[in-house]
Amino acid sequence: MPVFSVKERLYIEGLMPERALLRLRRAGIPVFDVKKTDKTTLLVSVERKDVEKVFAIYPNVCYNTTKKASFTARRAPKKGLAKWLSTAKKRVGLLLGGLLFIGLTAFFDGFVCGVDFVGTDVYARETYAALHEANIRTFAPYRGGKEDMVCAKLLAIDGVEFCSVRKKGLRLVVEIRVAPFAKETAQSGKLHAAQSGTIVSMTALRGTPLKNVGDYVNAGEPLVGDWFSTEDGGQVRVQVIARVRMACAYEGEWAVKSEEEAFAAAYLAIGVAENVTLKNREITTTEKGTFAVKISYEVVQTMNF
Amino acid sequence: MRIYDEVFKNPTESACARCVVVPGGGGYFEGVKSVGDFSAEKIVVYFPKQAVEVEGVNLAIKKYYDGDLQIGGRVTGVRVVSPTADGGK
Repeated sequence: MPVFSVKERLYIEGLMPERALLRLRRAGIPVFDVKKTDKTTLLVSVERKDVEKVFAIYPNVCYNTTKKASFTARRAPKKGLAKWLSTAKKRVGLLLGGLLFIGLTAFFDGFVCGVDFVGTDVYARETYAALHEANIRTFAPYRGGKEDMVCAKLLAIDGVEFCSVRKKGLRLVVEIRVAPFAKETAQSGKLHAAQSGTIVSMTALRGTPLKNVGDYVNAGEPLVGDWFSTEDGGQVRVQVIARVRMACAYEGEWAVKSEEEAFAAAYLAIGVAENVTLKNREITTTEKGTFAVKISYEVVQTMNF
Repeated sequence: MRIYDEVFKNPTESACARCVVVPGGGGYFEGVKSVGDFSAEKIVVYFPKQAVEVEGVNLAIKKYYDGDLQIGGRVTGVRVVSPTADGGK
């Protein structure tokens, strides 16, 4: 006798259906779990290998046949595990698709497909370099355990006061917070002339030059624009990286006691302290007793350079 | 089970029908020829020479094969109905 046998449930219908059991017994078909569901119907279980024999004895008679049968047998709806197995057989494609989806999801869950920055992305280049050193790459399996090393490298950057690296789904989230009073590392907007003068040289690594070398500009005029034009005529906003050197001149009269005082007053009146190179100065005494000061100088203006 | 063989064996014929009932449980019947009236409260079992009425609660035939009948549920009474078997047709 097999240890595990699969049984099927059948309905046997007819007048006094108990008599049907006699014929099944004579045919050598064991029946199990016999229940009388109503006056003319028995619910029996037989082993799957005996189902055909039962239908041979008690066929399921259709309405449009003249064949007479005292009892008829028909399959009962499956229940429990048999029902689910039967449904799964009819939906093999769906089952395989579901298993494939789950397998692929589980496999690719270990990958990193991109890096998201939270807080600030100013140090994106340094972040990618640190991740590369830690052998963490995009579109590759994620190798954890080195997040602290990446954070240590980023915290070593001046101005960074908080850093965290964690994997969230298929993305690596890098959160960087800079100190509120940290030195501005990038200025935005156009580069304007601080002084009036003639442009001697101009280097614009990023941005659009608005003046040419040799042009005379007044103080406040824009020198380099914070955009560049695309081929289709559009404009893309960028951070200006530029350096401009201008030749400027100053003339003034000062009623002071000496030439040195006149020069000092004129130098203060120029208004720049850094990046100034004096080229020439000329101090003359006027008829009124004042000092006429002429100073020619060069000033270098930079933005994010 | 030798005592059962001794008790149930007819000296002139082979072993005849026998039944074993578990108190508060079901029953097991051997030598069954057919099953008659069948409901959750009563099952009539026909043997070659007699019929037996089994009364109880939630009665069901657990297995019926080759003359062996196992009744499930709670059997409350077994009564020999008549000495003749008319369910063997």
